[in-house]
Parts: sequence; structure tokens; C-alpha cells
Amino acid sequence: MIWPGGKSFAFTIFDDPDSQTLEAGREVYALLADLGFRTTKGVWPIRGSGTPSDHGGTCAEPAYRTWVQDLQREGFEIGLHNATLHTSDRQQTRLGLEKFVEYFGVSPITMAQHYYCTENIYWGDQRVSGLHRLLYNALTRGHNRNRSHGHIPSHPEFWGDLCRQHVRYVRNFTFAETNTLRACPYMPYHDPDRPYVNYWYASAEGATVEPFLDRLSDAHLDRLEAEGGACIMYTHFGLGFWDNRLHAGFSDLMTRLARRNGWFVPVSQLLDYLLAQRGGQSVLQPGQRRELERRWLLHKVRFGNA
Amino acid sequence: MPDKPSWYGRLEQVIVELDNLPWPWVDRETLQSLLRVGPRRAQQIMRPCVTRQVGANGVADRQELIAHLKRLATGDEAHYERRRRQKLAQVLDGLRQAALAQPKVLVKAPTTVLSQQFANLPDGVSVRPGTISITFSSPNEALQRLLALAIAIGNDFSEFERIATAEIETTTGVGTAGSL
Repeated sequence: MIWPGGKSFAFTIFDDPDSQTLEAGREVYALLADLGFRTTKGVWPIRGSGTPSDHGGTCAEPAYRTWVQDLQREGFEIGLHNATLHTSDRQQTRLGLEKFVEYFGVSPITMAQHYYCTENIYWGDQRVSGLHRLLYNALTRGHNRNRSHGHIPSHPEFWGDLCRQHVRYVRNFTFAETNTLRACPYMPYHDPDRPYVNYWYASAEGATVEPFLDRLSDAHLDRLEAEGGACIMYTHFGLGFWDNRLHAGFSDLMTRLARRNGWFVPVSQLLDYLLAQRGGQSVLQPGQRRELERRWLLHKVRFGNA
Repeated sequence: MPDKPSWYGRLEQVIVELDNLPWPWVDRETLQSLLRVGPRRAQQIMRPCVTRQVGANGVADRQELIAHLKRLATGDEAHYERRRRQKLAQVLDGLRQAALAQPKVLVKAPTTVLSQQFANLPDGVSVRPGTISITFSSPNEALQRLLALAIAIGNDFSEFERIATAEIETTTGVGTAGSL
């Protein structure tokens, strides 16, 4: 892949807001901003009245919202992580999308689905097809069977049409490989079997600070750069990156990474570029889907998460 | 949009200004002004060099701070390597704890399963036109055999189609306690 500006590789992050306090977020993003990274920060636009999945902040809190708006003005992309940190019906999801536009001026281009919410689209066992679904349900003891409802028109949590109307990219499979483009060379792709999502993208597993640092070790970054690849990190900056001070390993790593000849842009800018390289269209073929699903299941067997 | 911190390119001037300070200590406001960064980032940068408290705030030793800024801007890999080695035991311990804390692998299977083919499917796995049969003697064995079959299909889908639609049977062994 040839990257703009003579860059050797591409790197970005989608940061899920789980467990991220305003205090921790400010510290992490002060570092990223100074080093020149412009990544994607996921948000919950509203608070909702249900039982929250964790103590992360939402845009319903004025101070948190102001800080996120400042990030947007600095060049960070603001992405969606469902309407809020618990399950929403259609009405609440619609409110979340409206609030997002009110706060940030545009609809979310990029989103990642929150594990806790059952209004997710094509999630749980619906992420995979056929025999792979059977295997997935066996591996998960059926816990995620038919657990997501966002793509079912008759269900009160349906919002697939709104997703297709407002959101361009939705995260799906996460792999242990640092070079996400090697793990999923088709991204961003449209899956005709999952028509409510315009395009899917994949990510590199880095949910907490430890796998994040491991995925971005010097050896892995050397290889990413040598391959001219692209890395979209999946992480939660609220989980271990700041504990009264920035995690020293994280600070060192990002400082070293910033010195490399990388294209550091938000997720949507990277995906837009990849899509443009394919003439604006990328439809997943059945064989490609089988291959992706098989490798993701293998990842799940090995790592038990993501 | 900056590619690198803008103060990297002004480091020499920043050092001159630090050297010209009338005292050997640097506070956060001074560093923030010199680097033209926000208060949080200034605090982050100076934190490793803070050796003295003035009231509620820490101040950094000027010479340590200058050396630290040079390392940040120029990339003293030897320094990072030393720090990495010093932290090795700590990191290894952290990785071990992370591995222990990671969710259990749901199916224990040999790595050879990745190259699974139809010709060597495990005992008890049978594919015929219109029928897939898996016999097993324990739940884990059932999952292992399901995994082997799924990977064999993924590795050679055309062979699966051929077997599943032709009058050819691939059968290996028979289990005893249950079937899927």
C-alpha cells in the first residue's frame, strides 16, 4: 500500500470509552495531541436511566462533553459507542444519534459496538455464519446466541436503518496481528449478508494497557513498517493507561512510535483512503467471509476474548 | 496538523531560555510557556525530573529537565533500552499475571489442528451427503472435534462441498457416550 505524504505505514486507534474518567482521558489525550497523533475517540452521547456497565463518562456530563468537543477541534475524530453504556431501545438510540449531531455537528462516521448492549447489530453469534456460528455457539456455551437485536426490524431495539443512514464504518473482527490490513485485507468491506452496516472494519487487539503495549512492541512496529501496513488499535484508554500518572511504558511507546514515519490519522480518514484505493467499493465475497470468520474463531479459541 | 511535537524543532532555543533562568529549578508554568503546550502535557513532561516541592507544586531540576527534553526530542534509544532492561522483571511478572487473568481458553487443542484436513479427521467425525455426525465421550472432546471439522472445512471448502454433495463418505471411528 502506498500511503499519502511518503509515509511508510498507517496507524490509528479507536478508543472505547469504557471506564474512562474525564481525569484519565485528559491525561492520555494530552500526550497523544502533543506527539502528533490524531485518532478516534468513542463516546456515549447520552447517560440513559438504566444500569450502566461501568463508571465511564458520557457526553451528558457538561465538563466531559466540553473536553471531547475540544478534542474534536484539535483534529481528533469523535466516534460512536452506542447511545449509552447500557442497552437502548430504538427511541433512545435515535435520541443518542440526535444528541451526537447536536454536540459534534455531524453524524458519527465511525462506530464500535459496546459489548454490554443488546441493541448491537449483527453481534454475538450473528457475527459469523453457517457452521462457524454453530462452532461459535459451542465455544461460548450459547451465551451470545441471538443476543443482539439491532438488525431485527420487528424488535423494539431495532435501529439498523438508522445505522445505515448515519454511520459509515462499524468495527467487527479483532485480531492479534498488529498489521490489521494483513489480518483483514478486504477492509473496509460491505457484507451483503449484513445489509444494515455500510462497511465493516477490523482491529488489532489491545483492550487494556498490557496487550496494547505487547501489540505495539518495537519488533511488531518494525514489521508493520517493513510491510507498509496499517494498524487500527482497539483499546480502552480507561483501563490501565493512567493511574494517578500516565503508564510509563505507554508514554515511552507512544513517544517512540511518533518518531516513526507513520501516517497518524483518525480511523475514518484511514478507511476512506483505503476505500478510495478500491474505487469506492468493497464487497465481501463468500469465500473471503469464510476465511475471515475462520481466522477470527481461531483467534477466539487461542485468546478467549475480543 | 503537526506530525511531531512542535517544540522538537525549537529545542535549542528552549534550552537557551532554560539556561538563562535565574534559578536552577523549573516550574510547570515556565515549561508550559517555553514549550507552548498545555498544563497537563507540561506536567507529564517534567514529572520524571521533579525532585523538589515548592508549596503544593513540584519543580524540576533544570539540568535534568534539559537532558530529559533532549532524550524526548532526539530519541535516546540507549536510554530507553536501559530503562527497558531495568523493568524487565516487572514486565515479565505483569505479563504472567495478565496471562493468568486472561479468560480461559475454551477448547484445548493441539496447534496441528490449524492444518486439519478431511483425510485425517479425528475419530468420531463423519461427513456424508446431507449428514454431519460427531460422536464423543466428553463435552471437551465434542468441542475439539467440532473445531477440527470447522477448520478442515475452512482449509478446503471445495473438498467439503465435494464430500457433502457426492455419494462419498468420510468416516473415522465411532464414539460411545453421545453425539451431536
